[in-house]
Amino acid sequence: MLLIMVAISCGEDEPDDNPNASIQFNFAFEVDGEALDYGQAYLINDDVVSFDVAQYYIGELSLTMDNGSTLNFDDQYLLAVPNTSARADAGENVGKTITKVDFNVGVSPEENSQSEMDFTEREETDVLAAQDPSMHWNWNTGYKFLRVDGDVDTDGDGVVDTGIAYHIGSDALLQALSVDSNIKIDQGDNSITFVLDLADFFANVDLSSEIDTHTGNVPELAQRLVNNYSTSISIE
Amino acid sequence: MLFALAVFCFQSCTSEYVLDIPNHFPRPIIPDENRLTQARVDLGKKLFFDPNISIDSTVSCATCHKPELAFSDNVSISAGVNGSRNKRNATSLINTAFLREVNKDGGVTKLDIQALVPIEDKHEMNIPIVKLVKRLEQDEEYVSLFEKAYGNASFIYATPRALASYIRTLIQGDSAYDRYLLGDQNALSSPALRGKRLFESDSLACRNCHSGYDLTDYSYQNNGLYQDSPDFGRALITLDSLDRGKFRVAKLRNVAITAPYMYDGSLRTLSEVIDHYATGGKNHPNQSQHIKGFVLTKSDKEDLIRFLESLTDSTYL
Repeated sequence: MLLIMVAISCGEDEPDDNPNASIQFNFAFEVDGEALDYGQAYLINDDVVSFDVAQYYIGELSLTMDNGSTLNFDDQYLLAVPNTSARADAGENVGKTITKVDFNVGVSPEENSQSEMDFTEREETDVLAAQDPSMHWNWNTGYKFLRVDGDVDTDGDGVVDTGIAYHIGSDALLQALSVDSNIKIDQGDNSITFVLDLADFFANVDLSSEIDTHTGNVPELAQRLVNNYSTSISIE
Repeated sequence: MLFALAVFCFQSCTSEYVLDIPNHFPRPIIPDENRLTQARVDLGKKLFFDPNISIDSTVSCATCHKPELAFSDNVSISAGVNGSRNKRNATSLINTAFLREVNKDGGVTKLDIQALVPIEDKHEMNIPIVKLVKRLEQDEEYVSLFEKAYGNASFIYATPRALASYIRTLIQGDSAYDRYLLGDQNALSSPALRGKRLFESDSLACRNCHSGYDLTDYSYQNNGLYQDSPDFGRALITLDSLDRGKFRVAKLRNVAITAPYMYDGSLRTLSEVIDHYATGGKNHPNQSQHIKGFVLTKSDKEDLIRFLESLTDSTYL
């Protein structure tokens, strides 16, 4: 098996100077197939809800080609935030097809422990550095692997006025996903889009009563949401 | 002359800050990358007392950690910005330098970033560190102090470390009890001595958890305050249901001036605390096996309180 490790650069979209091929990782957030707009009211499981934060970490990303080789992004992380992207060199893979995308939702224990390097020590451009909205827990020195915040209508008056917060983290809830794909790498720009559909993510959650989990305070709900990753995160 | 002043400033800013550590104490935990210097302590002290490190510039660290109360507060739950209150009592910061895990649930494993807890908590200062440092970077005085203390390091790196540096200097070990331990047989009154014997007795079992120079063994225990603890405590960190309602055993140094008590400040007086332990707790499933209840006479109880009062150190009062 051929292992190729390449670097990812995050930030604003820039013209591609690479004469070969590059991959742009896009992050889409949807609600029942409709593009997510912060502040817009949506109906999920009969509850009116709006969102103002939705983001998650992607780690240990690996792309498997149709010839069995892999393109690995070890020790690099992506922060999936609406309307952002990251770019990487596609290496020697022009003409191949990506058949599988493997990745973790979250941060590996080594980085999550903050023991070697904590989020205050990292370069500003590092997605594991302190973020705003924060992706670290100030009270337990670990990362929020996935964070969704917003408001919900709990009394049926149509007004979303009760805060909701779903912050998933802890080593035990680091989740590996493997998604089949059929993306051909052509010369020039290519894109892989990670899609998180919040309607699927909250499919078995009563948003009007289960209004938060910071993982440790409602671990059962946190685990249920982690179990929903496989049905709510897709690759396009 | 100018050269001499510059040399003086350089030496005083980079000079090591020497802690005055009592002989019967261990060495504090100070990482090499944040060794104590006068400049770092000075910066940390300025930040500690500055309400501008809260979102609306109304709450400083000292708002809830008052020097005259051994850097604790005298209300059950302190008010943060806009009067918002979290769910835990403000702990005394004295001798925090010796902690390996910070916060009542031990969730923060190094003091050098602990300050992010109150700074970012929506019930306390409610300002993301990213926003706070942008504010500090606009302040010329702070820019100068940060440069002296941490050179070119980022403000995000330096802010919590400067606060940690100042907090590491808050060391006390000169209470009447300390003097007694160091050989002054007259340091404790007769009632306090009787109270000490009670405290150390097998029947009360206080010292099974409250031992050592700060009268804590730093273990995490459920003290039976509630039958069904509303705060998961240590379990928030470990995700282990057996840790529900467990908190680090509280230091008893300065206990007489750090009321109210318990992790949520629900007990107002030392008398109420003793009554709680005398009843044997509320039988939470995780309750410490050491809490079994006991019987004290009124005189015994007063002696025990006299002993607890002997743990007060007036250095910062």
